[in-house]
Amino acid sequence: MLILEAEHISRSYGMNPALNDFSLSLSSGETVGLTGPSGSGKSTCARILAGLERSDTGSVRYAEKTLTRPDPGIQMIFQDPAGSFNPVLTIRQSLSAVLSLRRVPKSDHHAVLLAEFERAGLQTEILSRYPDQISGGQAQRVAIVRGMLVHPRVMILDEPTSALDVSVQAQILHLLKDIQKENGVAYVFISHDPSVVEFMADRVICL
Amino acid sequence: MNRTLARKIVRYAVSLLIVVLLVFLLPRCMPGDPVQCLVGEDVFLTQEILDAVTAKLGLDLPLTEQFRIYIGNLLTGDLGYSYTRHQNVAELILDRLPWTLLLTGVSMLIGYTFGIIAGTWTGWMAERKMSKILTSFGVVVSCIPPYLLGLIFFSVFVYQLGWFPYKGFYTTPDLFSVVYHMALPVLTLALFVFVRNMIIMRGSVLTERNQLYPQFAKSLGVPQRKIIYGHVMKNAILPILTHFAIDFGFILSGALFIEIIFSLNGLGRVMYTAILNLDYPVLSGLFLVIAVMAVCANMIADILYGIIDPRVKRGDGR
Repeated sequence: MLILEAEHISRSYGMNPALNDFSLSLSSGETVGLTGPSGSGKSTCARILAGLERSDTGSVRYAEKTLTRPDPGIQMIFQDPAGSFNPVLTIRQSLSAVLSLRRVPKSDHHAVLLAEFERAGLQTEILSRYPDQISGGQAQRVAIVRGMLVHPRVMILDEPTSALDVSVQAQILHLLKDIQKENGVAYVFISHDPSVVEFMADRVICL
Repeated sequence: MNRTLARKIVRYAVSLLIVVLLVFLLPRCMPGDPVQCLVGEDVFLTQEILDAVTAKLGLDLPLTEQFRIYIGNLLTGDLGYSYTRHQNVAELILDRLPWTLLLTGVSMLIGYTFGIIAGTWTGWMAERKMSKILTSFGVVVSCIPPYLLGLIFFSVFVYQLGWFPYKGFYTTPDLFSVVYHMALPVLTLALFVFVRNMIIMRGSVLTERNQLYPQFAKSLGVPQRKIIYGHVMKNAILPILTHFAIDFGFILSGALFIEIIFSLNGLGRVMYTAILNLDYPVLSGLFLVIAVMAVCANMIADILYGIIDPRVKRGDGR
């Protein structure tokens, strides 16, 4: 089932074209790899697909509707996971805020977080720490957990492993594969590393 | 009590001690006779009277003994005696301080509140025309020193338009009269505080809005107002706190100029007269009170910093 579709999207910053006539179609449970050299517009493309930025031309359709603003059904995982957390909130506070948005009763937050942490292989002590007090690998796992808390149908993964060492990279990639197998979530996986893209993606688009 | 708190208390206690020491040493280190300095250079005293006053003030005692007496006096609220005004310095300052605090307090409250809100908005909406206009206005106004701003306002709103009274805190001691008299001086100082804070806040929000966490909040569908005022503003406000501590003395000195321009009988007028009359006891007392207030402002900023940014409490904050 087609879940995300981009048709002829282009984006320029001033006189500098960042993305030119890009199209993509993504089905549920599928992983599309997006690769290309630095400056080829991978991150711009990710932000447009996530609804964080508008394209100059073309359109993005999510679940058969034109995407005009960010939709919780599309979640984005960033290259710098720690930076995607509010630095003055503990991990528990950040994740609880997401659960509150989903209207999960406050009394259930702890149990939900414990279950999600166990699934992602995270220790629960992390919950009381601040983003700068956890490692890059832990932060990326927490970011994935946080993204999954809203039950997205699409995840845009913008270089999710490029800041991590090889062993942690492998753990994160396997975690993502497990989540996909379990939930049928579709991925747009962006990386400049061809071997990582090859491992994750069903098909690859080169920018 | 944790170590960080203990360290802070010691730091502020040392700062206060240095201030007290400077105020104590200043008249004693000045060239010439300290008694002559205390009574004013225009007053002629015979040697007999000079000796008598020296003994009365304890200036013939060893410096350590003098310091002990000085600290003892300070602890009982005795800041000395003004021979020019023939008045107790502490009483004089206590009489005028509330008016200056009213002027600075209300101005800072207005200036900081609106400066933070407007700075957050102009930073977040930096590309909008209205934001650019407001920023340009802020840059221009912030370049005008408060005394000049006061003079311009005085000339336009008092002299030309006659909307506000020429001088004083009140005609009759009621709230309406006080508000009517204080409105323009408060607006002048508040405008100055407002534009400075708006510019700082704007820069800070511009940095924060490019961080990933507001973008993630956006992708979750968190309303924009909540992202700006609930997340971004809380992080962007930290430089304002630092600025509050550093700028407190500057705002107070700005208030002193405004008091002079609008003929308000607060500490500014007292200081102005004391400088003209070389009234050292009053100047020393004022210096001490202003320095203590500046140290208190630093302490408040320090406490607020710890509340807003928990990383500071850990002692390894940015």
